[in-house]
Amino acid sequence: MDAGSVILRKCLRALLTLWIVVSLTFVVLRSAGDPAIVILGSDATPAMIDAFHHQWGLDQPLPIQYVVYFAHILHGDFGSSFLDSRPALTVVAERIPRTLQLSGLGLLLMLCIGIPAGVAAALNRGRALDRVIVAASVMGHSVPSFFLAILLILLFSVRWRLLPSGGAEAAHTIIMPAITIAAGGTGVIARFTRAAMLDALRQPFVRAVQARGVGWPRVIRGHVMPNAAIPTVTMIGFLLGGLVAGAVITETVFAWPGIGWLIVTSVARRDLAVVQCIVLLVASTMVLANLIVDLLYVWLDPRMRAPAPEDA
Amino acid sequence: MSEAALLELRDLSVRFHTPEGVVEAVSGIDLTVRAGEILGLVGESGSGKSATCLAVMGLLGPRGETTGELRFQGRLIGADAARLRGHGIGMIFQEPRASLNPVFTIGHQLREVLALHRPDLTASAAADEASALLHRVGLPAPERQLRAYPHEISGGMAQRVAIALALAAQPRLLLADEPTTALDVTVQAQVLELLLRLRDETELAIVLVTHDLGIVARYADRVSVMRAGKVVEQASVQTLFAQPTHTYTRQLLDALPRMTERVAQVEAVPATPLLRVSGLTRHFVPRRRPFRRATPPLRAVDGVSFDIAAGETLALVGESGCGKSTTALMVAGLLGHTAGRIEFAGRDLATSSETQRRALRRELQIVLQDPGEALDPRLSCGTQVTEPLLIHRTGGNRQQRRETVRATLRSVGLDDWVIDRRPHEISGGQRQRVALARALVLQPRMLVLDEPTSALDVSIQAQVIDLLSRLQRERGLAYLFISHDLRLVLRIAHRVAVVYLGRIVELAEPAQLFAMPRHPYTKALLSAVPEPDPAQRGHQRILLPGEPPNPTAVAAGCRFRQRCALALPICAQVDPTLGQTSHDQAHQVACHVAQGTA
Amino acid sequence: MSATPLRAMGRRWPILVVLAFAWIGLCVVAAVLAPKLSPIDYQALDLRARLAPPLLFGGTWQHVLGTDEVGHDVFSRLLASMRVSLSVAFIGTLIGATLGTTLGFLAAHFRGWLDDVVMMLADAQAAIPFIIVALTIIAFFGTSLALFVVVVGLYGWQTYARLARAMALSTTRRGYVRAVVALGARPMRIYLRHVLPNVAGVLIVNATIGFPEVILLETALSFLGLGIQPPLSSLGSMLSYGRSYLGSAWWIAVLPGVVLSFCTLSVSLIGDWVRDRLDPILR
Repeated sequence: MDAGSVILRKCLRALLTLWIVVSLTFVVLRSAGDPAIVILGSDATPAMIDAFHHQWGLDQPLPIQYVVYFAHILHGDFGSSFLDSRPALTVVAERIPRTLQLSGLGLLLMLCIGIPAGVAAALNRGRALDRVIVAASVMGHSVPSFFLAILLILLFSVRWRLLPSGGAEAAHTIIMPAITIAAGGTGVIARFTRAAMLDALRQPFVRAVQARGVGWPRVIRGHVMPNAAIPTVTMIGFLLGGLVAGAVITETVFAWPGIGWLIVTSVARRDLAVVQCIVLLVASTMVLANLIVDLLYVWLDPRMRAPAPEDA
Repeated sequence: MSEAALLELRDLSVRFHTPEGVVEAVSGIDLTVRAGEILGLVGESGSGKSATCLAVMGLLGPRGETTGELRFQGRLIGADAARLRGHGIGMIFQEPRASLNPVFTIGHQLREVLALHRPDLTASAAADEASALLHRVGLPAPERQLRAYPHEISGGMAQRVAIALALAAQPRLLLADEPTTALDVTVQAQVLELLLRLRDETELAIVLVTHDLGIVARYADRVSVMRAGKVVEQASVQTLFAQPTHTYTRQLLDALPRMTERVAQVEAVPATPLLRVSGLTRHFVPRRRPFRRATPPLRAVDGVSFDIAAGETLALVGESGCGKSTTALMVAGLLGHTAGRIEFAGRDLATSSETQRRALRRELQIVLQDPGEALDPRLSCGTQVTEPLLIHRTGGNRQQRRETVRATLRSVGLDDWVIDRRPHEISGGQRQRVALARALVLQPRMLVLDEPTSALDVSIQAQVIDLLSRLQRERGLAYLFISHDLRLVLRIAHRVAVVYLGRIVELAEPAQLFAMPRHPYTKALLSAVPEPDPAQRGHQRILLPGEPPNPTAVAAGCRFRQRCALALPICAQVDPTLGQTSHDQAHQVACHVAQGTA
Repeated sequence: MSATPLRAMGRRWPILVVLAFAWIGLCVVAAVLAPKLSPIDYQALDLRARLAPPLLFGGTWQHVLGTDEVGHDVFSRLLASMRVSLSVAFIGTLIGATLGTTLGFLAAHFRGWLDDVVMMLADAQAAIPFIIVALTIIAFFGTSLALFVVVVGLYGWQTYARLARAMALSTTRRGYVRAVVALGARPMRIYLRHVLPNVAGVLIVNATIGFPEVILLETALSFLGLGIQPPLSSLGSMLSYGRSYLGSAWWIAVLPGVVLSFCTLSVSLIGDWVRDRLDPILR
């Protein structure tokens, strides 16, 4: 059963990517000077520095350092935030739920608005609805999210005083950040769904299926959309990356206490243990998400279950 | 055959509204199809034959417009053509896999059509019916095919599935738009015989759209010839071939190469061959991927040997996947060979230095199959014909090079205006001539021609073949001519080699080959090619069972034995080699039965 | 042909695309001539004209687009910011495209382990949202301008690499390249004369998608205070600065935002148009 080998290969590839990311982080860490000073901060005592060197194997040759580093990472030890001396992982972990809330809502908005919009645009190609949707999508993609955030704040907080400009206390504070984070992605997914639908509609089998007497609504629902779903699913993987990037900016502008805001403040304050932790966490999540999307792709498209043809 | 017309088209016109203007694909045609008859609809590309079928089905799309009268079973089909789709009239298309949705199993798609047109069937009855349909179209192991996906089955099988899907709705009329053009010759025969059988069993009327007059001669009862959107002639098949009235029909018939023709003259062949190939082998070994079972190598070419003398044409014929194109690429130096020797003008290509090989490239050139592919879409034709001179830094100064290019283009029948044109601005036939000119500009001694006319219309094919013959006579060129079209090969080849699964199974002069084929595969191949002569309709056909085989799973012994009706025990053990038959020294066969070594 | 000449021309040059080109042209001119066009150095204080609104909202010609709290001229600052942002984005796109295409071609030509390495790096790059990568590098190595431009340039190289590789692989399989190889052409000639011209179109289209993304990355980082540092000003840092004045001088934030949006919009429109125009030729 060759689908099994295809799945196995994809899992291995994901692990390989993850390994490369961790290795590159190690490279960056080591090239930025003495990791002890980098992580502990400039006012660390020599005693602390020595202890750090010993704990992380920095007094050993480079390959051993690498292994020690890996071991620490696998145990969830990323160093301690020098601001409050707590383990970086703890600091990060307590901000994750907020980010999940915001991103989750954003993703929901993107899918629930973007996909139907794309389908509607494709089915009404060339007509007014199509043009409007495409225009809205292009604009959503062109306006930078931080500008959109500022415009929303300008209108709804400053001018009309309807919504608070930041924070996460009340339920309605999530509205503006959610809109901001979803805007760009909605446009992208609408255009992509539209393109996928148009592509599927152009396929020769559509005509053949009609020739067998299948009615147009069923052709769309039962034949075109399943084919269009395939490239759309791969888009979702790409969108998740956009969500993370969006979270960084949106959370910062709206003072939403998630890991996006955390990484910005940590970079500014050079709290590198936390930065390192966030980077690796985000990388693993993304790799996992992409793997899931990849596997979903194999499930949706039977042609993917055959092993890739070798170049002759 | 009943007299009442099943389908009647009166003054039918089809127009497409494109952004560039209105295009009239069909201009006021009259057509009738009676129950149980096979109507051949013949024409070259652009004649409007496909548009006619789509108009009948109501599948022209939003840009298409139909005017005129369409009657099916006496009733007018208007906007409710959709109602008839599938049920009264079915359609199958040229690309077999294009009819099938790639993400659903064949069983799913069959059940969908059955649920639509036979709602009286229960789920289990429908499943049985699906199996029965696949059985009816001659697919082995229907249960397994029901679970298969379209990409898992071959082209021939896919086309049969398409026919099964069409039959599921129990139509009275089937429109078949070039149903076998994309298939190999032997598979084509299988599918067409199937259509014939269906007609005989159920009085199914068929409109067989094709550009191949041979198919028409063998299978159609009546013929309508279309050109540029009009029907120029309509007659019974016998009348059409015996006494064609319209000039266009006569042109089509004349352009057709016939197997009984002998055009190529055998001149005195020089003693030393120009090209000598021995034991040429090419295996494709897939890249070792971790966690994958080692797949056996793909034995595309497995020990091929032949000689070609100056001024001689050797044709390699066979179906897709037999290795003929791979052989051509190896001879032309575009692909390395795994084993064997290639000697050109006495020099072994493998042991030559880089400079020697580069010099060799001037003598041996290749012309590829698809003229659209063969030329760079961004450069002008003149630039591309000049390029060989630039690469080899010959041809004198700019002025002299221009002259050479002009002369070469003229020798292939093209005027100077082509020089500044881009490939997409000229016709397919002209593109092929430009590609030919590019190959000729360095004055090579030999050309490898890989299916040089497959992508062209029949009338253009004839012109290109004549051009090649003329050039051969004038310049003493040797040709290695690759083709799947046996009829074509006759006009230009001095000798023909039949290739099957990477081996030459028969080698002879064309007259000998066609008059007395010795190898069972050759016999089946010849039998499968429809001859444009209605008088031969009743002849017994040799139908090869099964599909052209997989080059990774080559059986022991004779590789043809699994499909061979004459297989003997020795065929399973010993691989036959190419050897002479008792009668004729020049006629060689690789078959135990034919060689009498059984 | 029933199309009138005007309509035919309208089809070749849609009005939106013309406007997009005009806008981009204007921005390029403004960016190049920024020092000459600004009435005053944007860092000059003018305490007598604090918080002056732009011209159409009650302002004067002296400060066409208004001033901020200490009298900095907004118009001058806008021009200077456009200059920085557009230059960084342009150089960044160039770096990414050149690096990516070269790696892609090398991977396609040599195959084997080089191909595998390049593809693995591309995968790794694609796995993480680039802003996180950029933030990490800035965190570890600081905010020097040169480093920032290099980081921005690394954005998206993997898309160019994947595209260049895929197109090189498919182009070298095509009939006309094989024919030229059969004629004895050397690889360099093949890549320069036959592969690159056919690939260029796709790469250019990708650049028109990439350029807006690069400029958005730069402005986002500058907005967060981690990109372009004072005394230089970017559209992003100007927006960030203006955020504090939303109540009193909203134009300081809105104007750079509008300029930025129009720039990305224009490049996207031009990119779509280029892609549509390339298709028929390639067919």
